[in-house]
Amino acid sequence: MSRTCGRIGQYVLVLWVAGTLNFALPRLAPGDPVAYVYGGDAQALSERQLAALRETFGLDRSLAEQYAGFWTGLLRGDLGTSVQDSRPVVDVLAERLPWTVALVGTATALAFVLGSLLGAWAAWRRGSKRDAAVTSAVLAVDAMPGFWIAMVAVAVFAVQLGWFPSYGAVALDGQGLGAAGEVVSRMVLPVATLALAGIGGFFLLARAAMVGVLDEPFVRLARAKGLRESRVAVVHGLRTALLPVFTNLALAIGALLSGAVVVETVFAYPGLGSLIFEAVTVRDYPLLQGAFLLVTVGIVGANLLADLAYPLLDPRLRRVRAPRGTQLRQVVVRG
Amino acid sequence: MNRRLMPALLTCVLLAGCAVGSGAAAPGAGRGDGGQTGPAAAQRLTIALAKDSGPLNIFADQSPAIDELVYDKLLAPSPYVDQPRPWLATAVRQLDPSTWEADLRDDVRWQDGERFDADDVAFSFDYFKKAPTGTYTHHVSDVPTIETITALSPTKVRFVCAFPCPELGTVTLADLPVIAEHIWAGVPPDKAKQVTSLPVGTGPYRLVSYDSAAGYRFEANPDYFAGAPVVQELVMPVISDASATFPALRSGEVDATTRPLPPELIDPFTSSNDVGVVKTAPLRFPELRVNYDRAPFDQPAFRAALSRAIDRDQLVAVVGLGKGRAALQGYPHPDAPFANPTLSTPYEPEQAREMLDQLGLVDRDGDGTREGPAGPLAFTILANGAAPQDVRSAELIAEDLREVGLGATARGLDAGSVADVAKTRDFDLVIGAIGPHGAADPTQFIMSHRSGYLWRAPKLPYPEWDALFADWKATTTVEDRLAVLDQMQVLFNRQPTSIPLYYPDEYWAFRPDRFAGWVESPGYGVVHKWSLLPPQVGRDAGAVVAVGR
Amino acid sequence: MTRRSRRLAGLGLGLLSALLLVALTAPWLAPYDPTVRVGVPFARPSAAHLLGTDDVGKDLLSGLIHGARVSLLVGVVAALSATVLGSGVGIVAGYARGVVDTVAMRLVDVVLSLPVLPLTIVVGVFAGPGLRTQIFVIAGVLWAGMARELRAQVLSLRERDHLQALLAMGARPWHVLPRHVLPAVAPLIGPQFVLATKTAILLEASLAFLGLGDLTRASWGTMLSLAHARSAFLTDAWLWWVLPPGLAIATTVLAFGLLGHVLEERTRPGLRDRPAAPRRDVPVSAPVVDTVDAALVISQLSVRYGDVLVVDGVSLTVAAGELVGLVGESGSGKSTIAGAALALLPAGATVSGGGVRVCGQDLTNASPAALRALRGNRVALIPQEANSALNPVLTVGFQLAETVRAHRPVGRAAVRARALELLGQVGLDPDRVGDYPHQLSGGMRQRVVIAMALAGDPEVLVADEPTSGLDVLVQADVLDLLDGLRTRLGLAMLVVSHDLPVIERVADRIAVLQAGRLVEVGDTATITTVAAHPCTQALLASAPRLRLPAGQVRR
Repeated sequence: MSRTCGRIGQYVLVLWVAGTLNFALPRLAPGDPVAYVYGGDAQALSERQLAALRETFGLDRSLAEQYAGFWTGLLRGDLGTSVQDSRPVVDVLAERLPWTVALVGTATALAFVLGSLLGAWAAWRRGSKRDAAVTSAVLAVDAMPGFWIAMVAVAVFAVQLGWFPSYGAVALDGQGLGAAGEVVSRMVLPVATLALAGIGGFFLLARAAMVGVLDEPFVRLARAKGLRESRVAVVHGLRTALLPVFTNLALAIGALLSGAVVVETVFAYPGLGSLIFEAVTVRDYPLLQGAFLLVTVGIVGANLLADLAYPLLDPRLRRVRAPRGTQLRQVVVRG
Repeated sequence: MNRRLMPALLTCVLLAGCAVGSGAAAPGAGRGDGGQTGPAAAQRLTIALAKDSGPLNIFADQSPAIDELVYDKLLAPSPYVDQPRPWLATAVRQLDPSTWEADLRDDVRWQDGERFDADDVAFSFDYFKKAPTGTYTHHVSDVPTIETITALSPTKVRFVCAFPCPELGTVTLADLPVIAEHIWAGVPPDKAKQVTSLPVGTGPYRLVSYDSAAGYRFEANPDYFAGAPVVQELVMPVISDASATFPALRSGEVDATTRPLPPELIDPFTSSNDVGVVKTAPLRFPELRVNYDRAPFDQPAFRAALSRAIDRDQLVAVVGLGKGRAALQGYPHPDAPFANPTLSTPYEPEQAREMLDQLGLVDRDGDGTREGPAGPLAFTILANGAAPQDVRSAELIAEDLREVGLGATARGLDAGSVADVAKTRDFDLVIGAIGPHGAADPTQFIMSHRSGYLWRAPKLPYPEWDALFADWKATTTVEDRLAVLDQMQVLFNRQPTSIPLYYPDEYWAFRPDRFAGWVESPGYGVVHKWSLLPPQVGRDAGAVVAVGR
Repeated sequence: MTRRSRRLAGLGLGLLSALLLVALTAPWLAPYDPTVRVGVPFARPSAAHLLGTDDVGKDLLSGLIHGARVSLLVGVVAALSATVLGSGVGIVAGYARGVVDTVAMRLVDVVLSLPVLPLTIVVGVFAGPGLRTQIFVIAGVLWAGMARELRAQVLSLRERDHLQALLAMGARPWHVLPRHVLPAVAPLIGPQFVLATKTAILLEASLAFLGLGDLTRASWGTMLSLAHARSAFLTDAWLWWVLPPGLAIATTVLAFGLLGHVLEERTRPGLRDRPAAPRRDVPVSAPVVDTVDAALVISQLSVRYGDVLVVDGVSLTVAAGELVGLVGESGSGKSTIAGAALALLPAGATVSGGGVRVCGQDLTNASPAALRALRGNRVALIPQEANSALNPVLTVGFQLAETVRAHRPVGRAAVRARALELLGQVGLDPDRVGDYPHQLSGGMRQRVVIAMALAGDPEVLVADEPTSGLDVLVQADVLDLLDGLRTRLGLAMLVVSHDLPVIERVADRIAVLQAGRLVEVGDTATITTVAAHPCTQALLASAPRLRLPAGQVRR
């Protein structure tokens, strides 16, 4: 438990740094923060209006007061107003978030499953020609920039072959099954791209972990017990080797979110990634910062979830003879 | 494939009753010759928007062509035609140099059923004076300055200006949309930007849903006073990336887009059987902005030399791929109603060299670069790094400047930084672009000299211009004003602070099998309400010109 | 290094040298100056322009060639900065410990938790685009991972005796760090740098693609950015404008990736390649023709690891009900013989002569299926160190049950009953069936492995150091248990141990192994009293002193 507490402390620290970074950047940037927050229109404002705006944004107060106000606002979920269209940043983020969650979630799951299975398989066949071929192939895919895979996917599958739509998440029209099909068909290419870009990390980790596990005495004993090779590989090898890979899942989500920025941009997918890029393009700082903060919170949340879930997977981290433990053990025995 | 089947199915079902079948869009039809064939009506069109404008709050963000699906103006269609015609107003007249009266239609209702009347008009113009929109504000509080707006009766409004305002009838009343008093009266003007509810206008379309992820959905207003639209529903996803827009258009996922076809795609799309292309003459151009605050650009003679040093033919040939005209007629756009037809801004590098020599800016150390009082003359030409055409223009101009002995390097910045330097004025030269509002609106031409874009009058001394501005204010008729504007343009182009690079042609791609009623309204391209209303409505309003002229 | 590693590393190095060569010779190699317009815009590939031209008529091939310079420059410089910073922070934090370490590591945690690309975009926007910004932001996010890795190394290094001694003598950091710490962690910095370069090049491309690069300085990323912005997708241009720069990036990153992969494997022993698991497809020795009909027959067995002969012509039999002790110093090959008794040799070891028969069945040429049918069923293994021989994430009951099920198709209830029965046989509380190995004591774990060995009712039991790592009293208990089982179930038991006095208590016969050869075989009494061979004498003499007073074992 103290391990979890320590991690939570670390995450609070991360959020504090990310928040403070958001507070500091507009104030460090050259020029008038009002112009910064209000965009090009600040030029058209009179001195009186500017003064009123400074008051509205609390820029007439001391830095400490502003900092305190920034955090109270943040904790209330107030991320300010988008410069581009004056909507509350929170609203815009709320509309974009589900798409990124769907995209990154599906891609992570795919990359995790495919990457770890392939990695474990390569480790099982380690040293063989097939291992070398698969490892090289995965390293090669891993070497391709995500946006480039996306560009080629658009050129081939959307433009040349016309198999999948090339942009967006969902058509505004339509409901029910047709709309669901539409959503899925629009997710195929971006998800495949992101998953491809993310497979390498899982592969290398799983391969390394599996190689380590296969050298463990318990794998030898499993063979000595006369278990089937498939059982040795899956129940004793894979099951154990996946633990460190799973620990890395949260980190990988961070990497995939980064990938989402470029992939969403190429596919014009309305998620947080493309939002970040659009906000950069028009210098919509409040939106940019809100999205950055949300992504950070997402990564921290994923890490926390992984921390909490890990004891469920690794009995060694469970408290000995905890009341819930008995139940869990039952589950594992049957499994 | 689901995606392919669905639109096809819908087309079949919905257009079954239509007289014009998609069979009319035979191969070879719908080309950029202006004579495209295809359905003249549609149940639903999907139109890709180039940018997200939020829930169409015109105080927060302006996209005129889309805003005016919902809103109407007193005169139609815009200030970019010679003589705007009555729209919400049935007639406008100038009573004396600074007084105008407008008679209003009495059969117009807001989309929520409320009746439109003179109070709405008076409220709108009053509200524009108070709400800090920039664009609309200075058109009622600076040039021109409308002092009072009075509703004389439910169908009659009077405008009184601070100084003669003859262009109210040709520009201002054709420029500013009318908003509903019963919607906006409760919103303090300084909070106008923050309104996020969907707009209510008098226009042909009602915005029924908006979401930054899914985009916009409009439904036709069947009771529109000018006639029911020919397209019942508009779905507008935002595709902010050009590279995603055109694949979607070519594969039929979208039927049209507010993004003009980039020059490199004009030929491949024109030769495609599925896509129609029309050509329009847009009132916009890329420009080289000159920082008149910074030496040596603060010298009129230096700016004059700069203008002569730029090879505009090469710019249109290389950057514009020949799709457009070389900018040899200066600023504003030559198709603008007020443009002085005698303007000439030729490419004369030899003369540019002489002028620079006369300024004493000579290459004393023989390294090929002239020296000024503060050392070698070397400038940076900034451009939006994400807009390759801008970067390419910068590179070409740098070559041109080196030809006349001025050191120049092109540098790409991110879009936000480019916008920033325009504000902070921390630049030598920057590639920009100006749209119809700046390039073709005569009052904006004046405003641009006062806003800092072309000049910062009256703070920054410019006696010649100040004198002309005084003349301009004193004139009382449109003709006299145009005469002064002619002189202003001559003055400006003699020592420009913005150098147009080329006047591009614009090409618009669409799916003729879905809808082929696209028409050009000057300055608006083809995606605007006049394309979506019965053709006669646009013709009667003088809003459209034949495409492909 | 194995052949696979050599091959992968060679491929990586080859690619990298080719790229470096291209980057260095770019001005001579490229047909045109990539900054000069030399053709018409958007020209298709031709003899003059092999990859066509870009949007203003610059030669794309020349841009591609020169792009190698920018991409490699940004990658290497950013990775170098990150490596210097990261190793510096990691080494100092690990060396100084205390507050410095805490602060540095919290900072590392924070950087690692921030989203990389959004962070670089945000910082990049404020710093303005360009090569310098790119290098700055890339280095700014890459150093943290290295700092963490190196700190861990330095921390463990610090515990080593010679460093402890140096520190105790009051050696100064500027003396210790460069002479003793840096050389020790240097092998780790190499792969870290290579992998960082790989990430840096990918990040550079992404940033350039997002418009945060400098379009006037063509890198591969900006080429792609341009191609994307100028609709290369929609025409055939993607074939010559999008594919080549992307492949160039992929090749470069792959080269670094391969190198890094191999280098990293070298620094982590656990990751090093092993030859494939031994296959017994080809008979490597003549079938066993021994006529002795014992339960376990080892005849003329030779095993080699590569060129080293670790077991040399060993012959030994164990009859039903007999307990034979196989003793020898560590490295004498006794565990290899134990493995060979189940045809379970460590990776890399092959039987080069002789063979093993279990209950009359020859293991040498048995098929994998036949071997599986034998293992756990006719011949079972009690491994050394039960702690690591039990799967830590599965319950004792599960591991017992799967052993029971491996050879007999029995129902769920029967399996459970048998598992409980087995636990009872080895004297364990049946309540422990749901426990995980880490919840048991060392002695209990040893009993669990013994129970597992019994699960298939084997005729032969091979115990490989069954008492190592246990405390003295438990050792005695376990041996007594084995002795009892042997008698009760009539098992043929081969017990491997380095501890002659321990084994002599229960063994009927004892075989002494030295350097892969049997030096003495005989009755326990004979061996312990009239041991002729010096090795046996040494084992007899040294072990009791080191382990325990002989009297206590004999009781």
